[in-house]
Amino acid sequence: MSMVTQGGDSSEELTREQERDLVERAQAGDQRALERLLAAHQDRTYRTALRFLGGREEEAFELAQEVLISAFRHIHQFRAESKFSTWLYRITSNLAKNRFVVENREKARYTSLEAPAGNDEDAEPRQWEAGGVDARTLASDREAVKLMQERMATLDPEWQQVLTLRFFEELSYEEISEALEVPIGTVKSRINRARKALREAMADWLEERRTV
Amino acid sequence: MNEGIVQHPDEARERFEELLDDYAFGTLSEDERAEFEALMAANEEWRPEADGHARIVSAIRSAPRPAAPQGLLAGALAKAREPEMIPTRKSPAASAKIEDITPRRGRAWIWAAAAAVLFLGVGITAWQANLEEPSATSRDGGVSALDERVLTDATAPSGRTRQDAPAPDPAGEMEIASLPREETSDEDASDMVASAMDLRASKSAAGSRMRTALAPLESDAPATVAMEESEVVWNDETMELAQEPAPVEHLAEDKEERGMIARAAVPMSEGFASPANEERSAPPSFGEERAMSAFASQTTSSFASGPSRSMAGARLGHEEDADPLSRDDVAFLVARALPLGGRLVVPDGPAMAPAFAATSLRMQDGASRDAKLASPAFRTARGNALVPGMGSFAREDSTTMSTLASEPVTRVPVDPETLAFDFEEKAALEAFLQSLRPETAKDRRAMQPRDNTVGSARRSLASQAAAALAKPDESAPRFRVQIMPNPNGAEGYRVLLSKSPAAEE
Repeated sequence: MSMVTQGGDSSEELTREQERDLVERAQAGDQRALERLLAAHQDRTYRTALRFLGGREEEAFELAQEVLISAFRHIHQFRAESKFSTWLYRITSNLAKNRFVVENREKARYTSLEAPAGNDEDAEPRQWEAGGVDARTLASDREAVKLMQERMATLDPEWQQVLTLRFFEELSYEEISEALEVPIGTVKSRINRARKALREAMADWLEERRTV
Repeated sequence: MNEGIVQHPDEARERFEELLDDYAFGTLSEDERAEFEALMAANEEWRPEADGHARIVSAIRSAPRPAAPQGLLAGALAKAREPEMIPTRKSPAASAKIEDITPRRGRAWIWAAAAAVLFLGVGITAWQANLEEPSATSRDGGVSALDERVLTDATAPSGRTRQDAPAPDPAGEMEIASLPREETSDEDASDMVASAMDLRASKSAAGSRMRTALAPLESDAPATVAMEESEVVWNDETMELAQEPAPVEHLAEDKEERGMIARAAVPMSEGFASPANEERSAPPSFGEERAMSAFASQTTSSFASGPSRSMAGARLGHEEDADPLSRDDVAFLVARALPLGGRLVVPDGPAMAPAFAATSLRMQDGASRDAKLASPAFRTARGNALVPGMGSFAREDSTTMSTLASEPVTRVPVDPETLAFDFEEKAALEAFLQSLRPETAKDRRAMQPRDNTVGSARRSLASQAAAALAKPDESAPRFRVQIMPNPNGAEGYRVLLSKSPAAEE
């Protein structure tokens, strides 16, 4: 009975009308419609979770599952004023924030136990060589993306989220505002700061590209 | 901004930033492009910024777009149909009414499911009445073949294991320490495995045993719904799990609730009430699946270590002030469950349980200790799942676990009302249930898992655990136990433990 499309970037592309129809049917109790709707968005959900969590695949899988579960259980709460994908982004963002809160709490709790002197808690956050990747050895955009993900993962989670939604998912400011439930002005300022931080994080790579 | 227009530097910068992404995306209109070029011409120091941003965006756009891993949606759908995790912390909102944590809609579904199953029961009962062998033990005339087998195992055993056992208390309360124990033979172990399979297989058919005395649904007056729920029960006479009926009453005060029951029941009874349903090609509808899923979640069980029926009462919203488990209780349970292969289901919410699972894997993969400690998932899981001083539960990686167990762990479930463990093997679960009894020397021998599906390593661990833990102690804590099929769809069982009021007496 499963409508799951697995492996490969094979999620079904839905038109806005198809999506609206599926949402209505799902909210009326049509399980197949709901499955199809979620199947169409599972790749995007996973990707977003992966970016939000700095490429940690195992945790991204868990987060994406939580998002899909939440959407399944709360489909009746979706008011269809925004795109379904925007609603999923919102859930992803909220669940990711919860994770950050837990992680930070645990990090603080165990700092004394686990962080020897000079650990990254105290390190200058932009000494990127600590990540083990030398930007000068990079030769392709794919490697650059890998490097970028590593470095994005060190940024403020709020910045990671706007960078992901803006540049990986190419959402508009309005859509990001809806997804993150923050005013559009906040989105703009957050993107500006995140953009600057990312550029600084990638400064060595940019320098390398300039001289190639 | 076109040439010749003077702009305040802040405004110019703001405009530059507004257009920057579209410049990088290549989606500027002709006018916007001209405006952007003019801005950069007037502020040359911005050009490297724009070019750098464009390079970064270009790299991002070339990034592979990973697809969802296999099983993501299927797993999510399976979990989504499970009941939501029962919270274990006592809070005013949660109180003792477990049903109260479910959203209103969820409660309605559960009752809709129950009602549907009532109707379903009538049809299946009639069908099964035709199938029953004349000699079969029939307790309510509506038991499926699988149920029948389990029930027969539980109620008509060889005299060897039951002849000396006292009759269970009619009220369903059984003092576990007062019952005699017998060694279990290999034949019994085989029966247990068979019963375990039946138990799983009969999960969806358990509704056939529901009966009702529904008050008129159209009435505005409060109405009591009486039904007979199928429970999975630890039978202390036979030392086996079995299914038994459990009468439950619910006062439906809410007209909406009764309406939900009525609306949901009619179409579903058509779908499930006949044997032809077994062969129909169309899968069940959304409502039907939800109903059955909800009902499956209701097919929980009781363990006669305390007043078993009270768990059903709590589940259905009756007032039930459960005392929280103390830290010692948690340690007591963890120390018995983990060596037998039980996995603590971290009770704080769905995000925690998979983290614990992931951590279990990490601890087996040979990664360095520092890497394990640095893992956020591990930190999360450790804080919730491990108990101070419990070095004895080292299982797969004794070195790592011993090291960790010697470290201070400050965060454990605080005063949980319920702890949950998953067991893959029925024999291990049964050994765990036995281990909750005040032990005797005979019991210590019996604590070892008793069927061949349990590996020798685990058997050895269980034996060690039994030896380490066993000491005659009449003041050992007593727990109420619920057993249900593993709600994750995996083989095995989930057991929920809460404090028995008897323990306080």
